[in-house]
Formats: sequence, C-alpha cells, structure tokens
Amino acid sequence: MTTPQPDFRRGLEALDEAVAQAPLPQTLHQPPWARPASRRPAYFAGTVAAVMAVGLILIWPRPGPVPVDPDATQVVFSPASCAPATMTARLSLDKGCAIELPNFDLVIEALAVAQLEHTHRGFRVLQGELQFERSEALESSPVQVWVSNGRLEVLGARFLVRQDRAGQGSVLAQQGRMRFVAPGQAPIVLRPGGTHRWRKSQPELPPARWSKERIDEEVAAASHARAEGHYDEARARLTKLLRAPVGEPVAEIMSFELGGLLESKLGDPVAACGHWRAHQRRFPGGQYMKPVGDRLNDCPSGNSAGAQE
Amino acid sequence: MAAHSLSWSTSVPAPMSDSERLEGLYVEHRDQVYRWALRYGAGDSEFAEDVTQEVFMRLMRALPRLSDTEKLGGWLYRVTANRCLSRLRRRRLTQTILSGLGLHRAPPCVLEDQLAARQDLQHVLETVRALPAREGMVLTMLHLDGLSQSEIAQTLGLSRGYVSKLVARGTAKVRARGWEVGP
Repeated sequence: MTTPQPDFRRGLEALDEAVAQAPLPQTLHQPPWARPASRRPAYFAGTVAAVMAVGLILIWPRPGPVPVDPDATQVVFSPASCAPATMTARLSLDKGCAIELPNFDLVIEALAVAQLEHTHRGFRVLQGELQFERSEALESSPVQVWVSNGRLEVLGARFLVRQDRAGQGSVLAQQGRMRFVAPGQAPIVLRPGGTHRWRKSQPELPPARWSKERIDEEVAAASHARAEGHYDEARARLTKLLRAPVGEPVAEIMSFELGGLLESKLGDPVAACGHWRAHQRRFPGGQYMKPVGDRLNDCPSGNSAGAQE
Repeated sequence: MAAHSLSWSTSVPAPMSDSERLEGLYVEHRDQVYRWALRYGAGDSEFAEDVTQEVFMRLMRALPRLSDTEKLGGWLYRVTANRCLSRLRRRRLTQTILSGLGLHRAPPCVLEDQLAARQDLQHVLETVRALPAREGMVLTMLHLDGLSQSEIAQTLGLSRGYVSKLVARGTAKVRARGWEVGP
C-alpha cells in the first residue's frame, strides 16, 4: 500500500494558519514615521554588510562632485565572478552577467557583451544588449536609461536595449510602462511589444537614383536569380538591397531571405549565423523574431560580430 | 419633478488632518499587511516587518494622490505583493552569493518553536523557500489568496502567459518534492 502524497494547498494553509498566530512585533505598534529611528535603518543592511565584507557588494563611485545617494549605488553582481577587480562608474558586463541595484529595484542582465555607465541621472548604455527589469510597478519615480539619441523613462517595466558604438540602437518594451524621450521630439510611449529604433546622426542615404522603380526591379532581379539557382548573384543583389532605403518592412523580408539563402542554398553556416545575429540586431521584435531566434539557438555562441550586410 | 430623499447630517465633524487619517489607516491595516508579508515571506518575521514599514511609508507618500481610500485594501494588497516580490528576488540573489561562500543562514521564522514538533510545517516551509521568488509568489497567490492567473498577472505587472509559465514551473518543482498539487 502506498502512502498518499500530502496536498500542497493544505500544507500551505496549515503553514499560513500557524504563521498567522504570530503576534504583531512590538516595533510595528507605532507607525514607521512616528518612530525616532528605524530598527534597521537600511533594509538588508545586514546582508549587504556581510557581502561587503567579502568584497562582493561594492559601492559604485560617484561621478565627480554630483551628490548621489550612496545607498542608491549598491551593486550586486550575479554570478559573483562577474564583479570587476576595480569598480568604476563605467562597467563592462560579459554575456550572462547580471547586476542588481536594490535601491532602484532594478536588475540589468547582459545578453551580449555590454558596457554601461552610472551617472547621477541614471544609467547610460554605451554598447551591447541589456535586459532591464524593474519589478516595482506602482508609485515610484522613474528610472532613466540614457542611450545615444535620447533617454528612456521607466516605471515598472521589462525591456531590452541594444546599442552599438556607432550610435544606432533600439529598445523593445516587454512589460510595463515606459517612454522614449529625445531632444526636440515628442515623447514616444512604448507599450509591451513596442519597439523604437534610433540613429545618432542622419542616416546615410544612398544616392537618389534608388527610385521606387529601381528598388522594385532589384527585388524582382534578386528573386529571379534565386529561382534560377544563381545563388551568389541573389546574395549580392539582396546585400545591395539591404543597404538601400527600401523601408524597414521590405528590408526585413530581404534580410530574412538572405539568411535563408546563406543557410540552405549556399551552405555557409558561419555567414548565416553572422547574418542572423545582424538581423536580430537590426530588426529587434520583428516579424521573424522567433524563426531567427530558433536559428540562432543552433548557432555556436561566440563573439562573432556577424556578417554586416 | 422627481423627489429625492436626502439625509443631511445636522453636525458636520471637523475634517481629519492627513496625519490623523494616516494614523487611523495604519492602525486599521497594519495587521493585515504584516500577515500578507509573513505569508509571502514564508514566515520570515524580519522580512514581514520591513515590508510592512515600507508599505506604510509608501502610503504616506501616496495618500494625497489616492482619491478613494475605500479601495485602499486593494492598493495595499498590490503594493505589499510587489514589495514582497521585489525583496524576495533580492534576497534570493544575495542568498545565492552567500551560499556559494558557505555563509548562508536560513531566514528567521516566526514558527521556530513549532517547527521541531511539526514535520508537516517544516516540509512545506522548505518547499516554499526552495522555490524561486516569482514562482513562490504566484503559487501562494494562487493557492492561498485564491486569485486567478489573470489577477496575479495584473497585480504583479506581469503578462498572463508569463504567470502561467511560472505556475507550471513552480508546480513541477513542488511535485518533485513529493507534493500532490490540485488544479
């Protein structure tokens, strides 16, 4: 005869019932604002002190004379091996490394090698791919994340920021409320699933001879070359089209086509993986996000910058 | 013209000051907030105390903007749940680091005296504390608070699909520890 398994819900209820018998602690008899001083002046101070003692929690240096609340600059690295030997306001994170900033209610995880900077106004993403997650969804002041062409004001949110050295980047809002503010432009409110891209300077437009008709002809020629089995020609035409002002939806389709061509017809997995990475960077949250993600899962991880089409 | 039945109070009480109002709200709701925090913190009294303080400090700041204190219960519940989740996640991270260094200690529990005598409580406590913060929270809200997955998602500011995933993951871990988990 087998022993019946205990019921989890009943177990929880029993625990809750037992816990509910606990009297209210003496410290809570008075409201916090009426007490002379908090019993624990800084939350988690004990833990923080312990971690500090072994050098795993570091105080982020204040940039210059700007007054920064020291409590707001506590940083916890996860895993601990991600912590740098010397802490500076500029921080490099390897892929998979995360930092938690308890006083901001913020966790930042590097999905690719990244650099960011802590300023008195918030954070500046210098380069890389960073996932920001802020659990606080209620009354709070927004955290500001600066990118090359503006800033993100974030209340409760999960979002992904990509930024390259050249000043191009994007943000993909995954949860919560946020808006993108750029100088001289109306704020852009981003809802979950929404993406915004930016460029530091005016995009380098190809010569004006790229008329709509010419683009249509090039698309048709690339398609024809592919159908005829002239894959190298199709590759060259698609690559050229991706540099033309074809509009992002068309470019995305062309890019997906090119990736497929490299992968299945030209049998060049290295170039294909590089291309899929470039595709993901250029079209974050695009219509091919899932199939491209699946293909990237099969790609060897590495620091390959990818084919820059 | 339609007749309206109106009843007027003959004497209007003097309006309460904000601090009096806040004081009254604290006395009225502190036990409930502390209980919720104890529940989500799996009996950790220090955790619950800190959360309670924090929630009422937030109430103090937010009170002028809260138009309807009749609905304060819902506001307090949401804030408490979010504060708990935030702290549990933070605690989890530091515990991971401390465990790696062999410095981890179990959080204090209001049931210390009872645990030795009650194996059932010890078992469920270990199970809950072993769960990742979010999974523990959503399972507690689902099974104890009786919230639907949509309500949990709304309260914690998560997507419905993500909550569903957390419930599935958490349930699998609970089952792996030998528990029966109903629908």
